[in-house]
Amino acid sequence: MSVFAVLGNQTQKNKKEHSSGSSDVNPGMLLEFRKSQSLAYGCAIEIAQLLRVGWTEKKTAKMMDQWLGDHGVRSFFHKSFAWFGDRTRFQGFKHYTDFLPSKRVLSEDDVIILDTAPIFNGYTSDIGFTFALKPNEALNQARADLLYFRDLIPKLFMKSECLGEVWRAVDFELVRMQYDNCHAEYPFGVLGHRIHQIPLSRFPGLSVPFSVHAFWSLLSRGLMPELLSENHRGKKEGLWAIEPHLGTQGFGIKFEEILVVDDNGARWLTDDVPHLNIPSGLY
Amino acid sequence: MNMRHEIIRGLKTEWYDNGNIGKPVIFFQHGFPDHPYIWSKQFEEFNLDFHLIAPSLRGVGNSAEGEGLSRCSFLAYELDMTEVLERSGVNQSEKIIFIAHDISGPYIEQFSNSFPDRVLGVVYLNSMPMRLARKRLLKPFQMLKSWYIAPFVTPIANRFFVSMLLEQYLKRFCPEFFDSHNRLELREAQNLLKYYQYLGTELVNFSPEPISADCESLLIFGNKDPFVDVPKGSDLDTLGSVCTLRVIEGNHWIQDTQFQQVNRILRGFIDERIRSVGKSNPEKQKRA
Repeated sequence: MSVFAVLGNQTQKNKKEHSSGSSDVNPGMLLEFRKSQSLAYGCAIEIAQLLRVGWTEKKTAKMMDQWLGDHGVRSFFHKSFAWFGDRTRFQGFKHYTDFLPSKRVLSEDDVIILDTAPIFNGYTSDIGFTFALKPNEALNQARADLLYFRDLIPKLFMKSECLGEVWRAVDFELVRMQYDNCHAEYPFGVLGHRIHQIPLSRFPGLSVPFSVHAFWSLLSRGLMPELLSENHRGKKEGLWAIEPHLGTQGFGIKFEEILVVDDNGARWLTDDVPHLNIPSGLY
Repeated sequence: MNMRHEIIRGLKTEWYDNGNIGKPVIFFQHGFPDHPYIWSKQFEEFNLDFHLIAPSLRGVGNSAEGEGLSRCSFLAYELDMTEVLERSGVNQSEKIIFIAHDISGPYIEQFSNSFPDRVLGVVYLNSMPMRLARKRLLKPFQMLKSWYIAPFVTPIANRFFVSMLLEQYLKRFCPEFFDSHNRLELREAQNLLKYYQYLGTELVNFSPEPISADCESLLIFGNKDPFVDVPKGSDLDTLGSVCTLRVIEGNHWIQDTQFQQVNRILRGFIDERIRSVGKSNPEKQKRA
């Protein structure tokens, strides 16, 4: 059974409810979201190139926050996360606090995930980048499989009637390819979440790791339609931060970037992302 | 002096660079209330054989202040200085001798711990790494000598304190300060108070990262320094690395007042470190 057959098995009863509407995002706003995402990826790449064996997850995440603050970011959707080694696949995570950057020290062979979500000039981005400091064949294979999902997800968005189908189709493919579904471990088990322009973003976020801006952005819109979970109900148009997270032996791998869904279809905001073109010195 | 001015991560940044790209690098960091000119005697001594880099701390000279304390943090300093080194033409693989004076010790310590592969050795000149400073500040004699830290870390009041009392205090206890500091403005001294404010919070909240740098360090103290009490040999255990303690006759600005002796010690340390390049596991020892 193919992944699109999974979509075909879904009932049509909510078709009218989930049919397309017009998107509120105009080209000028897309440009601003793109600037925000580019800044976030710029941060991840620069810190990745500075990263040394012996750094802790906490230090790495703080360094990213510092970098973004120095580049004009005044608040965050969520503060930066860094996960090393087996923590990249959320091995043994039981509580919400387990996701926070820890004192885990980076080893030479570790796979690393950097994830941050700055609000830049009022525009949110949320990015994730997986890499290693030395060549890693298993990581290369997993990255090739991850990029298959980068191709697949926009198609799934176009074909699906409701986004819960996308979640289930991705899960189906993950299992078929013998990976664990790590994004199911996130709060609410989300494959992604909507992002918006944030008013009053110059005010500090107060709470960590998720700011009051994040809570306001999601809760004021009803929360569940904002989260791409297994049981999602709601329209699909808008901007989504999509974060498929695959788990395999000893490590996890993810990317996170903005998917634009409007009357013209579903497409990634830009292809200028480091998982498509690994920066020098990183693997 | 060949001062460079460039925008680094949004802020104007100034540093001395003698431009000797390709030669062994010595990185000088001044303290409070100072500027890179305090190293002029060392610049003369090492100018021909070394690539010398000496940045101004933020708020001094043409180095712009950041917003609040944001650009005074250890992490901001590390990000700024990696950029300064890169723009000065220092290769990622080049090992560097770091020399810190006064409050810059903790900053250099953090930098060398974050980038151990770039460190050939560290010299603390009337200065201490954070791990040692936290221990020493609990000693009664050092506590007495550090009485000024309380007014220095008090926001707003510290600027008045510096403008009203600093000059009189230095004239009374460190008259030699005025021989070499005729270029420093009161405004710059006040700007540097932000570093004290940041270090004040770090003294309380500091959570040491695992020591990744086991680089060799040299601590040089003037025995008449009115601000820093000479640590005991046993205090050096805190550092967990190969370190040498030298105490010489002199005050707080020994790099200027006792420059011949300081330069001789520095030359010996630097030559020895350069000779040792390539030895992956230097024998650990403590000399005090």
